[in-house]
Amino acid sequence: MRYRSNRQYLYPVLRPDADDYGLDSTLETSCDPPQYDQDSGILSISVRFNLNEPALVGAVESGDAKCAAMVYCGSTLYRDRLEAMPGEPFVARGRIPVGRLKNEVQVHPVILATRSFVLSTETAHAEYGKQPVIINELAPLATDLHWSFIINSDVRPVRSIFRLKEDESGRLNDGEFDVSVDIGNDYVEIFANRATLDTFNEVRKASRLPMPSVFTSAVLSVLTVVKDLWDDGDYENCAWFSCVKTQLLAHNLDIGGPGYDGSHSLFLATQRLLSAPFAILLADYADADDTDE
Amino acid sequence: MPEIQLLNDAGYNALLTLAESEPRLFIQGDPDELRQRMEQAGREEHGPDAELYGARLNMSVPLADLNRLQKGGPNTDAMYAPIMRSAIGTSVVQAADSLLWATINCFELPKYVPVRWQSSNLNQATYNFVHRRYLQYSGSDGRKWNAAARLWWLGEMATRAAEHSKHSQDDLLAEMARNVNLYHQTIDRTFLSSNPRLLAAVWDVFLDGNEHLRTTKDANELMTALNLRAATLSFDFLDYDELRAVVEEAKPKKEP
Repeated sequence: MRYRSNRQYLYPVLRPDADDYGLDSTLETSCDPPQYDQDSGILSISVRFNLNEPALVGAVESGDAKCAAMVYCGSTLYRDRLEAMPGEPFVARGRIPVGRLKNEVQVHPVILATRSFVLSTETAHAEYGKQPVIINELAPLATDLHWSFIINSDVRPVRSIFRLKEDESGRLNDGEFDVSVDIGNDYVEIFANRATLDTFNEVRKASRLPMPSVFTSAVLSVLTVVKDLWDDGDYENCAWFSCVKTQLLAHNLDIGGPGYDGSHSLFLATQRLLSAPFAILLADYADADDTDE
Repeated sequence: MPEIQLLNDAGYNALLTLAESEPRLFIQGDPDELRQRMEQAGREEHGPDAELYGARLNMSVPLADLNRLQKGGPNTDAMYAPIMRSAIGTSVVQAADSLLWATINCFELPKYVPVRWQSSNLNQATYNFVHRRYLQYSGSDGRKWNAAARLWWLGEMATRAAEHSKHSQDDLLAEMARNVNLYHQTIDRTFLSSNPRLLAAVWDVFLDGNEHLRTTKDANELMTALNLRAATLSFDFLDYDELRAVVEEAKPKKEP
């Protein structure tokens, strides 16, 4: 009898942090950003498989195995599968109803045997021997680390609606930002020249202090637009618009859209949505004080 | 129609602070005092004008019956699960909200948790117990320990399994509530709890004359066998009949 030490499977499975196959054999996957169709409420997800192990590539191309992925949402206990179609054997695609998902959604790539077949490979670890192995139907042959994305989260912060972009027009000086609040975009864009963006990204890794100076004015600009369009159903599907509106409702903030008396000024609402940015400065000031002592 | 106002993140955090410092407040069953202390803690942390509440929720049925529970244990779970689902609704996205469940446990079900888990002895109140049963939606193991969410999910599991099972939703719900050992084992495993066909296959095996499998040891053995199979066989691609055959093969055999 021959013992296989330290092996999780009775046959080699290509996966991260395991040496079932030689170091040159790899499976790298990439998950495209999910595409959401507002009309149907369907999320389209696709996972691309970049596989270089000849035996497994051969198995997929011959139809003995197929690329797939499991979609799993722990908050709603939803589970579904994505599968590769014949014309595109190394891309697993699927459509998921977004109404069944919330918070973190995981996508687990896997290559599965579609039928029983004999796998022979030159690169499997010596402990598996050189003889071909019989693989059973629906057995996993390769896996990769899972991908995840967040959806329908209750705590999606207002800051998530912004995207920093480089201004190429040359109209902005160093240290200046401008905001483009376009109802046709999914994100509100904050523009700055290249040098300012680089500095900003570097500084914000070291300290949270610069954030309020950029986001406070940006949120204020956004709220001006939201106030005017508050009840306009045409814009409910705009991602940033609905995010801000939801947050205003969640925080019980009344900025005075149609039918509302406007008990909160735009300036106060901005601070509440950003969790009182001045408090960040105060906290850092207090911390600095403690350090001095 | 009863309406409740849900906590927001600040309110929820204030409850977490209280759970650390005064867990007894939760199980002594006085929602007014708990609310007062929560608001006080929230104001201390976020200032005198702190907003501690968020969205409002209309409940289609009141939850008062659950506060009349007299005796601990799982006997009433099958009866209360449908009430919880009727009150909150059946949107799984809405149900995956810790703010919702914390609000309900703390302010709508003040008497339920202490009696259901026989923890009315104030000395038994610990942060872990309060955090798990009142506040946290889902544990790190994925299990819904939260008192109200647990009832909702019991009904949801029975509903999902009934779509594929040969048994009625009521029978499945009664069996899941009665056979707590197996229910906890099934919801602890994501390949099982999130696969309604497999869930139905497991519970059908128990409902079809396998009463001898009711012990914890038998449930453990079945789950160990299914765990091993899950490593080498993708259950997601099998239909109900194929999964049922897998479960039949994996179940502990009755000793003669």
